[in-house]
Amino acid sequence: MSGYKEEKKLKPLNKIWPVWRWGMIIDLNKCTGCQACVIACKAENNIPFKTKKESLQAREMSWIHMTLTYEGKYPNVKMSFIPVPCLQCENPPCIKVCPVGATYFSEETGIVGQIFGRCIGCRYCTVACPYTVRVFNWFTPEWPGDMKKYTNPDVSKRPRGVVEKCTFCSHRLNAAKDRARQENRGLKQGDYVPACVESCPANAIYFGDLNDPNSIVSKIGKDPRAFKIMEDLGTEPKVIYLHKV
Amino acid sequence: MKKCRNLLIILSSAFVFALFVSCGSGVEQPIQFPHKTHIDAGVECNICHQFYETQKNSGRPTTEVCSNCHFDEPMTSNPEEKRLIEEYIKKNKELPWKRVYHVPEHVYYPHFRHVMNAKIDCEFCHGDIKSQTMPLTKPLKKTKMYFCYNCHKERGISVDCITCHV
Repeated sequence: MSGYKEEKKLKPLNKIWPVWRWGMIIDLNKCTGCQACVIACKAENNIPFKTKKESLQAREMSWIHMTLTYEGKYPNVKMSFIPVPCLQCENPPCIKVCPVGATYFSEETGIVGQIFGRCIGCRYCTVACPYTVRVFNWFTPEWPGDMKKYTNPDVSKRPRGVVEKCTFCSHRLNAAKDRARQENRGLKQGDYVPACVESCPANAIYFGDLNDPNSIVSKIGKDPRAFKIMEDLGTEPKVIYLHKV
Repeated sequence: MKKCRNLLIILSSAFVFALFVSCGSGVEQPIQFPHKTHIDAGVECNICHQFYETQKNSGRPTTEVCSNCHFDEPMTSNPEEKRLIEEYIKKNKELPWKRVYHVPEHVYYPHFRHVMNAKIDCEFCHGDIKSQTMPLTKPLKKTKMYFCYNCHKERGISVDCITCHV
């Protein structure tokens, strides 16, 4: 610590950001189940491919997965898709069980962060999560052929033996803050959107700040169709779903 | 029993010696280039390290970049410059530079953000690199987390874990 004190002091940047609560709304009536969000997430966050054999052993990794629900009986079956990213709970059960503090609740952004370098791979959090959105990295990540060269440099490649989860593409928040700082303004609607939101061809996913009453998520969140998955658990997820009952 | 103990002492001392040698030697670059001569000749940092203003990594000079200045005859009497021209530039062979400053894989350190937004000089993290007459074998400054953390805290930058650990 003492080595730093001798350094010349740099000027503070004096940029004060508000306290964000980033939230997402997924309109299930609009979702076509195309899984573009799943692919976009994999490409954005350097999630390695898995072979068929590994997938059959339930070693498949994805930070946002599609849950299928069936209604009715043959021949009148109705199938619906529910994309489930990490729900970024306000009261997350996963951080309470982590013995090393590798997962934590970010007070500045409301994102449940995962520090991959600190994770010891005990998988308590994977078990504690009621939404089963945490995945364990069973193998050393590999990409076929030249694909390794096209990985995202903004996101680390996690080693084998750590638990991974959706981070709401927090590296994109840093980039958005950069742009805003250069233009000397606050963040606008649409400055920061995760890859899944950007890729959705049906525009079924909305993203914004739940603390801001004028944001798109605050407005659409008042829709009577809105519900949260397993609300009775008291986890207070920040991903809200819309579905016509 | 005594023999066994002696053997253990010899083995452990050999291990410690090997560790000492491996730590002491550091990184060896293909060409023993001087940073100082380049800076004195008026070459800016971004001529060789082309990407620190726009990208995450600063980039190391390719043979093509070197050949912009060192193309025909050596400009100095330094034998290393002659070796650079004959072994790499004339044969069009890529220079196998080695990295000296490391951050772990789970740390995201973007050069452009620190240089362009925060206006930090190279010396702040890399030490007095401009006056080096030989390439570095070890980092002049340790790139440890407290160094990053203190600066972030002092300058009012986010110290949220996910700011750097992405």
